[in-house]
Amino acid sequence: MRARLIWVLLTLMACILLALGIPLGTSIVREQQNALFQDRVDDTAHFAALAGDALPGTLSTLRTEITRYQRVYGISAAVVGRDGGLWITTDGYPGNDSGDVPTALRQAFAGRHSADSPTIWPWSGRTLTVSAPVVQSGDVVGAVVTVSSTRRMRSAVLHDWVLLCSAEVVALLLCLVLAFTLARWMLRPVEALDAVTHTIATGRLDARVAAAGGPPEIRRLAASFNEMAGQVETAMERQRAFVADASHQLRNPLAAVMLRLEGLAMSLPPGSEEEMQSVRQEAHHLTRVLDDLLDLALAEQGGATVERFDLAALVEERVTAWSAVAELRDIQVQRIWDGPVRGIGDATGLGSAFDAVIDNALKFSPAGSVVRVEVSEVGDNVEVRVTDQGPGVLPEELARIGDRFWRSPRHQNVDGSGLGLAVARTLLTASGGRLEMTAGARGGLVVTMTIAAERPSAVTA
Amino acid sequence: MRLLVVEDDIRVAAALSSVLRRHGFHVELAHTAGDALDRLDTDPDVILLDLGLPDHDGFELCGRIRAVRDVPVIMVTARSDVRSRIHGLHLGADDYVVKPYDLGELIARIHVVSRRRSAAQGRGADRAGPPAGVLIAGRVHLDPQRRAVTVDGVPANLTRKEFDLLTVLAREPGVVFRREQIISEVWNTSWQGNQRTLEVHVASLRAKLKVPGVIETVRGVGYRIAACDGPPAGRPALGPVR
Repeated sequence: MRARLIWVLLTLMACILLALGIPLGTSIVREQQNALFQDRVDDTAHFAALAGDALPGTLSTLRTEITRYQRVYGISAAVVGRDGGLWITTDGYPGNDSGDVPTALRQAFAGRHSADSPTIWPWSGRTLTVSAPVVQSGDVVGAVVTVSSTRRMRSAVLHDWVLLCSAEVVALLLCLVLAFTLARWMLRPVEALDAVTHTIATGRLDARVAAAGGPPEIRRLAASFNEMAGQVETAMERQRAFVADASHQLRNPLAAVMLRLEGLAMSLPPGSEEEMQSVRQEAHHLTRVLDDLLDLALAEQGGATVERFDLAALVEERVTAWSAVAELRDIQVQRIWDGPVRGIGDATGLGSAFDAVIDNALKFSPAGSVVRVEVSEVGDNVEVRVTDQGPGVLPEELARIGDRFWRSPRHQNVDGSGLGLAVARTLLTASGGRLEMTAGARGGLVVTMTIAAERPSAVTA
Repeated sequence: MRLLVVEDDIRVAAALSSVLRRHGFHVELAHTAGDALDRLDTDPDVILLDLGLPDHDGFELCGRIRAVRDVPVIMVTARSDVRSRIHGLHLGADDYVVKPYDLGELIARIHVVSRRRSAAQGRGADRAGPPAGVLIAGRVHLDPQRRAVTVDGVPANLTRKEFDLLTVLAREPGVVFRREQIISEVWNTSWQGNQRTLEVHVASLRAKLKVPGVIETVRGVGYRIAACDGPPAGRPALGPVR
């Protein structure tokens, strides 16, 4: 937007400068040419008057004067008789038939002084030809023609033009500075808005736009944005507080129930141990759900710290930690990556998210199967892809998997709280990443965790 | 062993004290911080402290208890976040348990902190058992240093496991040791399948000691040695187990 704004302003300014500069440049040419022309007309008329006075006698005085004139000013001249005879010529006179000379002679023989000639541009090498009739007792008997070089005039024009162009360039530069300032003034609050929006998107809900000047419309937008962010934060905070409070408030009654159970266990007749054990397991399961809920509430609170780290090393460490579980269930974990894969995100959050994902994969994989863990760089992102050979999910279930407490009706009896992937998703979203689930090509579930890649020149938000 | 349970939720307090009493602990209850400070006079061996108290913050109470008395404190609370745990441990808590907890684990932690404290105070021996010359049930004498047991002065020929078993139980006469705890300490395993082995060893130990009622079975929980010496000076007598 900045570039566009500056381009619009610059184009506008350039048009204005051109519209002013071209007529001005033309008028400079005209002015210089007029001055020269007038000067030559005067000289030519003077010579014509001298010739008229001298005729029909000898023209020797005039010849001396014209020759000196040519020598001093470099302007060639000729006095031509009505019949075309050259009465006097100087060096450099091109002859009666060349250039503008015939036209000038015709005009002079018709008794008229030279009219203004067409504009002589600096790049045309034309000469300026001026003529005047020689009149003797009311009759035109000949003509005086001067042919002057326009080189000096043209270089004077060029000089003026250079000055004009310099002035225009200076004006354009000033305009550029003005455009930059204007763009900055207009865009600074927009940039602030953009930065804050990004910060909020990465989970820091308390970020607000500072009042930073700019056009009133954008200031109003910033105020409205802050208001909206406040509302969103309140709503999120309320929801988070609800989950946290709810799980807190559930801990005491659950503790009481478990204690009463233990008391009851002591009074049970022998042989009910097994029954008691399963009741205990249920209670422990409930505890785990509670813990997961609280984890989720904490993950939603955000506060993720974004850092640069080697994703492959992190995954390697987590896979090693899970290898005992995998071995116990006779599942092979395949590690597919080469070398470090560097990304930007919340390493702790990503580690926990990966735990939840691989826990899920190991839980649903049949014994003897393979879980593939791939770490790779895809475009501007790096991703971890976990593929299992479990039962997978139905296409209509894909949209729901990862929702809180959702479990496929077909797998209600697999151990778990139904919160694992929800926690993973929340943790990833908190640091600007994302979690996607797709069905595997040959059954099973593919979970892809994506975060931004670290580029040498990348700028962290 | 005397416990002071500081817990504002009366339902949890009632359930906890009831089940702990049935494990042979003597339990004092306090529902507020003021109450808890008053009851420090009962000289508890371990304090179970809830953090959410109506009159004072549990962390603050922990500091005040620490200031007046050197007694192990286990924080038992619904606050599960790491920051609270670290804060509690910094304030002098010996352990930190998050609700809802497993009763077996809580009791194991109670034993650990009290054992550590007694070892530190030098009035008890380490995990190997009580100091030399412990008299059980008035007739059985246990000498952990020489690993010898005599009944009415007559040496009893115990196997190593039987001796270890008796030593564990003799550490806290009157207190019920849960089966999993005994199995952990004597057999060094958490395998529940060893329960049958435990029963066999207890039966053989009873047969060798020939003192009826010296090892009591608490059904569904574990075993204890009868505290029939009567409570030590200043300690109230323990109630019946059932």
